[in-house]
Amino acid sequence: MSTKMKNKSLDIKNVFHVAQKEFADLVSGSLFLTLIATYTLIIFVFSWRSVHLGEHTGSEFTLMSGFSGVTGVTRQIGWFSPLIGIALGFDTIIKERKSGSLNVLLTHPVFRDNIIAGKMLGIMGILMTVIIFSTIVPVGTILIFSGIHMSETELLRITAFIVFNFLYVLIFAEVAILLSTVANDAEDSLVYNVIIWLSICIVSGSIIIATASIVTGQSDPYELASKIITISPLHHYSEISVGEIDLSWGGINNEPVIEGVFDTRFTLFQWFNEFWSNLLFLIIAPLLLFILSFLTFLRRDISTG
Amino acid sequence: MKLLPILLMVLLPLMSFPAGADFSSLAVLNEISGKVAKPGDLVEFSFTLEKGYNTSESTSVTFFLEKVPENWTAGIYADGTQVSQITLPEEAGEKELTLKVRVPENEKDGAYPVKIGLRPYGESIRNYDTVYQEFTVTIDRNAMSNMEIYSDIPGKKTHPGIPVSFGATVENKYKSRANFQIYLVSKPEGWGVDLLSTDGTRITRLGVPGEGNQQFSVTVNPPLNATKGDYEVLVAACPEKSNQSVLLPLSVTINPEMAKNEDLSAYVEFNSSIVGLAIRPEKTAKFAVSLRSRYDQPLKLNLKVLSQPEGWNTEFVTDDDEDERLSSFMLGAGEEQAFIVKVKPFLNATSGLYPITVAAVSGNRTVSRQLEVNINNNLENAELLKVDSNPSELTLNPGSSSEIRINVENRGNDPLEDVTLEINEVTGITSQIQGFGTIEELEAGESKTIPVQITANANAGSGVKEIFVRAKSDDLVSSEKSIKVNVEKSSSSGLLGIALLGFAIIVLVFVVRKFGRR
Repeated sequence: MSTKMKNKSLDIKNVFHVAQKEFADLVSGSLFLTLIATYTLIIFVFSWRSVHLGEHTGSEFTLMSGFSGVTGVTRQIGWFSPLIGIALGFDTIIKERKSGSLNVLLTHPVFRDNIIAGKMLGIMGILMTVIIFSTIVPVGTILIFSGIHMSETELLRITAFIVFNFLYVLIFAEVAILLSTVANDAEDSLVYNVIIWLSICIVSGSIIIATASIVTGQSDPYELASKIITISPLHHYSEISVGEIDLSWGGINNEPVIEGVFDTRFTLFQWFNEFWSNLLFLIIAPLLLFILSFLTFLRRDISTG
Repeated sequence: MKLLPILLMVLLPLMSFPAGADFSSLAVLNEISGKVAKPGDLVEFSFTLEKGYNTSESTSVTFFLEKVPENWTAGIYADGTQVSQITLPEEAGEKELTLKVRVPENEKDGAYPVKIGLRPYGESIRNYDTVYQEFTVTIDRNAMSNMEIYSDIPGKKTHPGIPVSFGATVENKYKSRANFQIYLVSKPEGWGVDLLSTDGTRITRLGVPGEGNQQFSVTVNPPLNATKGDYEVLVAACPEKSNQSVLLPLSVTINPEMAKNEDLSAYVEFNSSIVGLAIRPEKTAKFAVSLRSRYDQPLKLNLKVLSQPEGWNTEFVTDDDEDERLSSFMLGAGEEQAFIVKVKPFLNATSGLYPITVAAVSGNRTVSRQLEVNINNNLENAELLKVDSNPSELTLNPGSSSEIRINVENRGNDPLEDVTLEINEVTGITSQIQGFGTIEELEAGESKTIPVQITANANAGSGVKEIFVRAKSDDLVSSEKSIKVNVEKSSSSGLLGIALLGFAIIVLVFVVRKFGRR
């Protein structure tokens, strides 16, 4: 019993070692720094724009409306934040495998499950860092340029947004890790990931509407399209954050009753009652992908060839 | 020759003297015993019956027609009633009587005697001698009629389609009441002619008192396609039981145009007892005006504003309902139409005298009236409609909003309808009137509150901004109420934003340096 506990403690220690190594590798990489700088710049610009456009809407402008609504930054976060997850995960396994470092690592008292778990933990740490950073940037920008107050409720809702934004990006990171496990080289993995990103985040709405239109023969197949779109992570992110069905380019339009987590007309309990299923999707999807990646990696030939 | 007086003295007592007043108990006195008449006429002779000599006793008399031409009818009338006997009481010495003789319509011209007899009777009568009196009726078809028909204005001018009415009079020269047939003899084709009594009903006969007259009217309606020219309408009157008609020719002149050299002011008066009013710019000047026609025909008049200062609004309304806007009306001949000219000045009009010219237009003719509004900002504002704000000053952060309540009070004596709020906005501040923003009816003395959402836009510049609110109804505009909005950028929020960005960068640098590879 004691030996078993000791082994388990060793496993966790190994996982954290691998995670620390992964975190250190990623955070000091030029790719990460370039990516976070670009992403932050995009979010900064759109944050400033949301304040600027707030003058012309005439309606009440709050920190929440800086995030949500037509001029808010939620749409841009939904489009571009998945790229961070992809950038962090697309070569995480294949790079180690190709360089032979994976085999070297396995000569140590480290098991395969320790490696994949550690890598995922490291990536999650980086992701959380990026998400927090990229959320603080628009908050700070809006506060500086608008001079509006931030209330406790708004702080709480922004924290909630950070959490499910993390879960949303984690889905793409898990997909990237999975593809990194199965792909033969990093370039292929990157291409696959970019295709998936484009399909889900940019043109999913148009593709789904076109598909539904072909199936039903209707020019406006809202009912079927709104069902198909539930397979898209962007749909669930969109529902939770701004209450809309779809945020992709040319996507399905709707007029939500509760405009997501930023709609302060409703309490967080009311928001949860309305969108719990979307939140559940964002929790389960990365978990399933993690399990899938885990199993795939365990069964994968990790020889350098 | 010496035998003549002796002969007379012998013969005279032997002659049978006709009954006379001097020798009979009755006497008949009359001034006219012969009259000229036409066939069908009723001829009347008046005579006086009196006691023949000095007696205080009552005397009864029986009448009879001694001689009447064949087919004639006659009777003796006392006080309008046909009588056969009368009694002259003790105290009355005489009685007025009338012999009425109806001449047959087919009677030939000539002189016809009518003889009546009067015989006294009763216990006190000792002399039963019959008294006779003869009257003569001369029938002459060429004699003047005993009636007349005429019109004071037998010729009138009108326009096609516009009726014209003539007054007419039938005069009865008989002493007794007579009925006359009134009928239309001729009219232009397609024209309408109505013979109307004074109360407007159509007539065919007219009863006229003896030696009196009766009026009626003839309405002539020319058709719309009547052409210019003179037309004649012939109306006739004829006594009943007679075929002797008297004609009344009426002349109607159709002239579709007014005189070319005359302005409309020659036909229509544009009156206004008050031509100048001094008001504040937010008030409305109301001029009571009237149009009176001097023209003998109805006129269609369009009301127009010929000139007014830019931004002003002038309307024509009726006396009864100021919601009804007048644009044109028909003004009958000699009629007068009163209405109100409402002049609403431009709200920002400066003090001064402003002329407004209004006109009534018929075709290309115009009659105008200049009215003057003296804008005087120094006039005391009666504040019949007042607005107030609670609060009147507020502080907002950019992007935030607050609700203020605007109280609208009707201080006048009349209810106001459709009271609306008007808000003059400034850059950076947006106001939104909650609900419909209109009070349908505000009773006198009543006040109502309208909530207004004031929003400072996200990047509204710091400082005090002033917006103005006023209430407005159809007739009144309140003075402007100032609401001061102090926009304050939250410096703490700006600092917090900078701190957040700085913190994020420091943490990121720390993470990279701490956990990154060296």
